[in-house]
Amino acid sequence: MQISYTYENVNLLIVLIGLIVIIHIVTLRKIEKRTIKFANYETLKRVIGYEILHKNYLTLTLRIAAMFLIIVGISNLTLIIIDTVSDTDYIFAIDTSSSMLTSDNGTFEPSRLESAKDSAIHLMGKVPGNTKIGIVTFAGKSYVKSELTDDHKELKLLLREITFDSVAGTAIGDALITSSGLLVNTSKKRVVTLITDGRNNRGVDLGESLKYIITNNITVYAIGVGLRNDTLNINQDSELPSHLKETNATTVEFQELNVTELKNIANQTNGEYFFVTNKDELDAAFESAVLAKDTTRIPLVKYILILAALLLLIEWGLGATKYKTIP
Amino acid sequence: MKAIDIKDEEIRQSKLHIHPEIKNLMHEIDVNVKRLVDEVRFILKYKVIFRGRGMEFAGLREYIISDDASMIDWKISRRVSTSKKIDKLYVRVYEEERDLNIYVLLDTSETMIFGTQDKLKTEYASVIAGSLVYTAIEVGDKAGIGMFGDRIHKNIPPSKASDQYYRILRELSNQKNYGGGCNLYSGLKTATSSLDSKSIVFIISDFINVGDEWEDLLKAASSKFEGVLGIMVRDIRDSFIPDDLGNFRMSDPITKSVTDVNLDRIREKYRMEAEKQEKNIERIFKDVHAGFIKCYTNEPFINPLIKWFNMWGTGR
Repeated sequence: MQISYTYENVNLLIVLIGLIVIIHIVTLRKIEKRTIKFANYETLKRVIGYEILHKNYLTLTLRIAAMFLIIVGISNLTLIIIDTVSDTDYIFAIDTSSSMLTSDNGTFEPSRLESAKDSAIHLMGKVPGNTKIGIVTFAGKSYVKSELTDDHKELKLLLREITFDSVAGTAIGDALITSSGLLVNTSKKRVVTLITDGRNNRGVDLGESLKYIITNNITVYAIGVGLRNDTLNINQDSELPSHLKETNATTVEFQELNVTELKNIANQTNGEYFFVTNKDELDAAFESAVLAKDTTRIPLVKYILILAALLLLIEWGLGATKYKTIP
Repeated sequence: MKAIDIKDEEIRQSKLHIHPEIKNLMHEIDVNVKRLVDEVRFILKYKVIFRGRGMEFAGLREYIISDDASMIDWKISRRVSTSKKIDKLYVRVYEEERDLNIYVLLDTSETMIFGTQDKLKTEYASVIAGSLVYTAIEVGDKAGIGMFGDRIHKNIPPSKASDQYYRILRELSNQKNYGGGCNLYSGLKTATSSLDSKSIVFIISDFINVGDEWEDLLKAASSKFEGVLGIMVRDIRDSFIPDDLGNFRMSDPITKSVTDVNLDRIREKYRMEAEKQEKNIERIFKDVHAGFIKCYTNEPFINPLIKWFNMWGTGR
């Protein structure tokens, strides 16, 4: 749990509390001149009993507390509640289109796909043992490799077995729908970690799938993988490198990474977008996506100002009743 | 007995400049003191003598109806009679070989500077103190005073000096001797260490916040001296709170701490606590066989004082 202030400089107003203390002391001195000296104060005190907090200090405390709350309130204090990983169920949606076999001039050794699998396996060792994870792969179609399970050993085996999918295309929309299907029955936070190097060019319209995952309160962390095609000397008119030709890949599958599309998915689902160009960045992005703690922001201004008003009301009430004095 | 003529002293002092406050105090004492002097004179002259202390024959005088019949000297009465029939009775007059100290220990602390009636407690206590001093000097004894707050502000050892009464009145009227906290221990310490055993000590105080550890010294004083009398001087509000007052902000005259209190709510409990406080002080005095009387500032003090003198004169 964290707190944040929008207007941090407002906190400088805290010096006003010092002013309140000074005013209180000066007022007290004036009031004390109006007291009645009472000879048998010894007996009076015994009758009244010991006061845990003298009236004067209680009043001062209430005023200071109210002022403090007002200052904190107008600084737009927000409470940030951070969920732990174990409060979340995850789906790793991994692009297995043939373009993922690219090594990006060696930055993803041996390939984007193997790097993604390796990052996912590496991450398994970092999440709590009871974290449930499911695996979806997609190319021109999407497939459930594993439903939600906390059997991380089994998941690692499944991850290792993933190979490229010969069905051409990148069906990001399908992958999101499939992932959502695995998460809809969980009561925990729902997160999809989407790893792709392309754009949605097959299956369900991305807009439709987005509506569905938003309706089901699913957060998507999107990881865009790979260098730009022109960096890799790939364009729609050129021939693919020989090792890609062996996979029956075509240039259709080398659609440029649609950054805007992925950012949109992440933003609309309160997730985050990462762009990675090498294995280290991929590891880091994966960790950020999975280990990133989901946060809930609760603006406290209203409650704080209500509490401040309540304290002032109590102080006024005490002054008008219990602490009312003559003269 | 060599009595001091106080009237002469007053005339002498009147020729000097006498502060109006002292004059007022003198007047107050005059109003109260005559009966006290008469009673005390009798008690000290006769009742003390009959307790068998050292006495000296002072002479003969004619018997008067108020004399103790046992004092009649039949031999002399018969001898001086002109006929066989005794026509006049004579009593032997003795004077005690006494040098009795009357010492007043007066609380002048801040709690005494309080009053809701005609007089502050200090004013009332000053009249008692002045009356006792006057009486002592008038009947031929030595008088002294110790004015104490958190320490002894003024100590005038007992003396028969002609200006002793005026000197004491001057100190009683001196505002510098008043205020501050209260430490009865220091007052009693002064009395027990400076007075000899032929002393009567009057402790005049409201016995509020008088400090600690004074009980043992009181016991020592009671054992050492001829008499010890505690005179509790109280304002009526030290014991009772009137109806329908509501909330007030009260302060401790010594510590200056302040509290707000609804007096209507605590009236009965306050009365009970004040009574408990008074009874506790009285018990302490009784336990050490010292006398104790309580006076409110709106009541005359002479009767309780005379009552104690009578009890003391016969009871010891």
